[in-house]
Amino acid sequence: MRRIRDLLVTLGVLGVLVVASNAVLWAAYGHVPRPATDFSPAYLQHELALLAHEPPQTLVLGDSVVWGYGVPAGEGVVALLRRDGCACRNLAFEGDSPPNEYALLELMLAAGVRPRAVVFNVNQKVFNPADSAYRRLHPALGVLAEPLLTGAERADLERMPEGAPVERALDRAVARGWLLYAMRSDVRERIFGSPDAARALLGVTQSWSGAAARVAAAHRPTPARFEGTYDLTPLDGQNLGVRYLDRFAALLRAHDIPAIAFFTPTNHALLHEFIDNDQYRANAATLAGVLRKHGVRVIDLDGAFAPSEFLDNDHLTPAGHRHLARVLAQALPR
Amino acid sequence: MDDDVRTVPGARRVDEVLRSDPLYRVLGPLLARPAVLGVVLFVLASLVVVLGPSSESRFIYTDF
Amino acid sequence: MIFNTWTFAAFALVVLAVYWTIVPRRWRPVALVVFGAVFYAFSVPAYLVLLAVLGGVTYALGIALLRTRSVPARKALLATGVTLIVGVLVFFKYTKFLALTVDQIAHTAIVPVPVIVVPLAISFFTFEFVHVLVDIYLGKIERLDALDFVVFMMFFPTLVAGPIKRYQSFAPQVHTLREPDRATFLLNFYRVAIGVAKKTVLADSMAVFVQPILTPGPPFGQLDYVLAALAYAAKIYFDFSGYSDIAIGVAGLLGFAIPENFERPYWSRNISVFWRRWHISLSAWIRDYVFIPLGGSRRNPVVTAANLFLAMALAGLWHGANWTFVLWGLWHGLGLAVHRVWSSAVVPRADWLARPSAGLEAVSVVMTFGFVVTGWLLFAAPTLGAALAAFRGMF
Repeated sequence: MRRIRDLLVTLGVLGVLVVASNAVLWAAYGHVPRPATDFSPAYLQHELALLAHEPPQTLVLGDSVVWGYGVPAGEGVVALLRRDGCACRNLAFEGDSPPNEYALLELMLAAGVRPRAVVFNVNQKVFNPADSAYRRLHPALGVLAEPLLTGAERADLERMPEGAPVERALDRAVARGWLLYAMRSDVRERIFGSPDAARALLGVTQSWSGAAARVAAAHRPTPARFEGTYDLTPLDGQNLGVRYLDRFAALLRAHDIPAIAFFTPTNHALLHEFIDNDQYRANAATLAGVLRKHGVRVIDLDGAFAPSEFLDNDHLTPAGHRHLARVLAQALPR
Repeated sequence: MDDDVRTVPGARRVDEVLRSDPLYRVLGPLLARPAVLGVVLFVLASLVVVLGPSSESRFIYTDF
Repeated sequence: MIFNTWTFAAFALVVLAVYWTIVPRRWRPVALVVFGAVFYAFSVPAYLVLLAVLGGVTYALGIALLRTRSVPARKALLATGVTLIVGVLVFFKYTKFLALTVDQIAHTAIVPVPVIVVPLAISFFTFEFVHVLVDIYLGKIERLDALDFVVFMMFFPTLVAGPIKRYQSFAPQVHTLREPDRATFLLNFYRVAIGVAKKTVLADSMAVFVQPILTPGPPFGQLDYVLAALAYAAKIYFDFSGYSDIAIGVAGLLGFAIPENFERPYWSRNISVFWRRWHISLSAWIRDYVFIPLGGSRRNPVVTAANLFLAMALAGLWHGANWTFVLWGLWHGLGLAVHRVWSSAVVPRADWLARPSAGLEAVSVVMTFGFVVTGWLLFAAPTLGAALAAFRGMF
């Protein structure tokens, strides 16, 4: 009898602490400069709930270029725009693609988010069927958007993470009960500024040893690294990316959301042999046509940046982000 | 690897092993109280969740 | 089923609840067998048949050994059993390695490299089976009870990766199963929690630091290699001692005491002490079933050294089907042989070395740790070339 009472006391205290921590985390976890690399479904739900209860803002969607890969969070284009007075939020993430943008917009609308405007980048490389983001939804989006997708869309898109079904179901059950567990990747990135404590510490030791600089030097981009990155097959409705870009733009128009798309600044000096050709330009024109058909404003920044503004083929240096922020600031609704 | 050491690894009492564990010396007495056990469990689990790495791996010795 | 999964957490909770509340006392051993079967079948169900058949053969040979008086017949029974058990281990774990080695020597693919899924825990249950047969042969096990043996074989806390149990100390516990008192329950629960933390926080966090050993190269400097070696030493210790804590803790929660595997191994003052504190259940097995049968240290120093090398090379190979593991074993064989010469020929002639001193103790511990950490390069690196590159990078 005493044993059962003790067990109930232990579980009771544990339960109270879990519920209390859920409440504290939900209330205290505000907007972040940019989503964690491996943001969780719980983070996205929380972010959308915040956005739904705030005055409409400009939401910036897109891939790692917009997210700010390779630069500190405060030096990315969205952070710079916010500093300049723009009421905008960074919802970009690494591995984004038109299907992801479509799923994210569906989720936003279902959560009651009404953006003032949507800005997003269009990167030709993700229309390449060989690109990892071509048909794969971010795991968090895959989990949340599942009920919103049609049967055909579910068949089109990869959305389930790896792992045994039992393990996934148990993991989801724990995540449903305990928000700190559900948002662990987000909390870790917020605390450590890195996907986890170990990587943060590794960053410190590798900067002491000089390995970080040597790794960066060893990865200095060469054209050969991007062989096959850009597919020059003529783009049409057969392409999954084109189909979902079309749906995404149509959904924006159906909800009267002003939208601005910009072609991702691309390092032509580096990629000359792959992208300075008629087919690349024809594909860009096709994508622009799809967007304009639905009233999306298109800004072509594809060849507008200097080689010195790139870290590699398309990721920007801090100076590149400042350049992009200046261009977007002029285009955004005031 | 000495055959003159006759320490066949029999079972030792767990408390005997843990007596040398400094963390247990602090936590052990607290665990006996059910409410404190709940708090300790919560703190330990939270630390594991926050400090753990983003990629987990299998145990080294279970690959075969 | 692997310990650091939600599946195992759920399994363990259900098992403990059912075991201590629903299952009547006399049926608990049977319940343990059922739990073990579910636990093992979770990985590759078909291999449960392999485990059962090999266990059945071991049991039958064990009973035959107990009933046979004739020495040649006993020897034949033991040889049959050990050959069969080791043969199964070699087939599943080393066929691919042997085929690759032959092909490498011949510089052509003369032996097709088979695709074999290694049965979970085969290295561990085969060693327990060999122990049972040898100990029956030596008269150290005088009785083999069918249920005790099946519980011993299917005991899920130790099924995946040990600790390698001894039948003599395990079997009596099957009959004296008692619900742990509150203090014992908490102790074991603490042990499991600490094991999980060791693995999921400390061991797994080290992975990113180990990269220079896995893929040595120009980006890494001396500091990176030294940190990588230290990180691997931490990783393997926290990984396996964390595993052992969970195994011993869960066994304790089921009312069983099983062998310890670690006793502050990195605080050892020499390599011989290290091997009495690192993966204790394996090193004791190697000592009892390889080193001593080879003649141990009772012959002349050259034979003893050769025995050490052979025992450690086999121990190395047991860790994985790769020549790097053999070399790791030989590295430790070398350390043990040098230590033996040192302690038997040098120390007795130098009084100051024999006198207890904190300074000497500290130097000895650091030297032993350095030796062990250097050995981990061979253990961790995917190839001998990578191990050598990491070694050069450190100095």
